[in-house]
Amino acid sequence: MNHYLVFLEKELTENIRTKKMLVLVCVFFFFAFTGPLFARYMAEIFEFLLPAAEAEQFMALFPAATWTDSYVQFYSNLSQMGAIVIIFMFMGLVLREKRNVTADLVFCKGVSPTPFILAKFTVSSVISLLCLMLAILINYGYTVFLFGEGGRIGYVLAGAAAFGVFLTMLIAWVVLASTLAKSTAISATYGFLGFFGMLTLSALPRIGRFLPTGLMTHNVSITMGDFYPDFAAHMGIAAGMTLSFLALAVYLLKRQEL
Amino acid sequence: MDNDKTSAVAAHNLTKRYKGSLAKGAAPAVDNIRISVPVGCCCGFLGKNGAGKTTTLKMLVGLKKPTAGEISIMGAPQVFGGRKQLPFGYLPDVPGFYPYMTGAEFLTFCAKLCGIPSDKRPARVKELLDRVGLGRARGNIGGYSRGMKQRLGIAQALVNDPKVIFMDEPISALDPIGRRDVTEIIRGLKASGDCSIIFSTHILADIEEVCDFVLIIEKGKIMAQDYLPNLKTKYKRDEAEVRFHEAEAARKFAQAAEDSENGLRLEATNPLSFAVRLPEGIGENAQHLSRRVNALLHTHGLPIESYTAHNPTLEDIFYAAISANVEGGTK
Ligand SMILES: Nc1ncnc2c1ncn2[C@@H]1O[C@H](COP(=O)(O)OP(=O)(O)OP(=O)(O)O)[C@@H](O)[C@H]1O
Ligand SMILES: [Mg+2]
Repeated sequence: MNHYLVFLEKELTENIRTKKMLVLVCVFFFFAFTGPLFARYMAEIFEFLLPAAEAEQFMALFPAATWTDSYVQFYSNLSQMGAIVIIFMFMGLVLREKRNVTADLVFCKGVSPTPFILAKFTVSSVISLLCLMLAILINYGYTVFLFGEGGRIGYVLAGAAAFGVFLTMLIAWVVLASTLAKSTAISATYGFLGFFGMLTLSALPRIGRFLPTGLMTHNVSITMGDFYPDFAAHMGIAAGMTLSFLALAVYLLKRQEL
Repeated sequence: MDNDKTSAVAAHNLTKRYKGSLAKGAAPAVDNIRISVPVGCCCGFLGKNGAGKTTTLKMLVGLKKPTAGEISIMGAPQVFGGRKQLPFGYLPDVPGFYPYMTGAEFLTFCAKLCGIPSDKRPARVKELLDRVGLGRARGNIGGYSRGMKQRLGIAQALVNDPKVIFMDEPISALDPIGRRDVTEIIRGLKASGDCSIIFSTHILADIEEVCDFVLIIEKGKIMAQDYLPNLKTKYKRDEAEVRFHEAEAARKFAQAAEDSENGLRLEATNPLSFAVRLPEGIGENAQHLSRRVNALLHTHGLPIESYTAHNPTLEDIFYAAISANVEGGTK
């Protein structure tokens, strides 16, 4: 039996039995439900929280909420919390196997690290993408329910797909961090350094536009049908980075002693 | 010697120097060793804590990269990162498993990795579980005791029906019952006859119980490597115990030895027996000793209960070996 399939089966079993994806599901679904709700009832919430006079002043600054606001809420929450949860969820992916000596048992059987890494990446990203797609559909449905419209479903899915491609790249980065690091603290540090480092660098004038962070900052405009100029390039760059991170992780694991 | 064809495991000039851990010139963890373990034997790999057992075993199974040297297993080269499926099994010192799997599921997973066809897997898994006494174990590995994990570790090392099995301290951490059971399993493996076993330990009794070949490592160097009986001969000291029926005869014997010219050294171990030795510089000859003792007894007409030539225990061998200068690599 092909080693990749064996590992795939093992990773799936692991995810189902340890229920570790539950955290991810909870976070994504929480934002899917609260995004539209918060957008729709923001005025009422402020009214409730603030004294009447101040609330009125405050509300005067904002135009009335529209359906796009529920996507604004959803993506702004997800781009921070979602990324953080992803890093925490996957920082031990490879490291844990080395620590628990399960890697020794596997690798002394003449198994290559390639299927080992790829199966981990596949299962983690497929489950994350499924969560994301379900969440965006919930968000869409709820927006339609509350606002009477939710945008064109094709664009809505495209916005989520852009986010998904970015998440996939982040997962590949975390897999690499987990291969490289000798402790979970260090693995998490690499994860966060990569994520926030990329956000910071993307604000720089020249090199900024070569980093695919637009995939997680322009989702609302994509949802409204407005694909920003570098969109296609960023999709390509993100895919390239994903592959490079995975290749590097495999390369490193092949040379590591256990 | 060192014929790789007849060696289950052979290593030449094997060295491991850990990076960073040492200032220049510090001793390597494994220092230019030569090993040749004959096919079909049960080899005890003996050494104190930190002597280099784990490091050596991990290089042999391809998990650590040797700083220098070559390894072969059943004649096939073992290359770090080579990812060739060689016919061996390995039990790490503290094996880890996926806690959410059952023992049978874990063995099935290993069987798949080893390429055992699906129609043969269930029978193989069941056979292995029975062999290590886990046939009745219920529940996930997460709930297994240390001893059960050790057994499962042995079972996973046997999945591919290996020709050589490496075990890193398989017995050391177990309670008396666990020790006995695991020793039994090793004995069973040895009796089944188709695989060579190498296991490390720092407990001498473990080796004396099941091993026929011994490797002794100290500070990264191999100090002795031979069949156990050969080592016993080699480390035999010129000493014997003479035991009498009665104290009277014993006293007469001591007196006679003192008066005579033959220079026997006596040391009373209790009122009825003595340890006898030849004086220094007479040479190593057990027969020489027994002849002199015999002559003395005969002359004085003293009856004895027993005469026992010294038989070195593994402990004697071990201490003699690790305090000796480095043996020229191998025997
Ligand atoms: N990863 C490492 N980095 C640096 N030095 C190490 C490493 N692993 C082991 N050593 C050193 O190498 C030497 C041999 O260690 P090893 O673990 O092989 O000994 P051992 O015989 O297995 O001991 P024990 O009976 O305690 O298991 C020790 O001095 C140890 O400090
Ligand atoms: Mg050890």
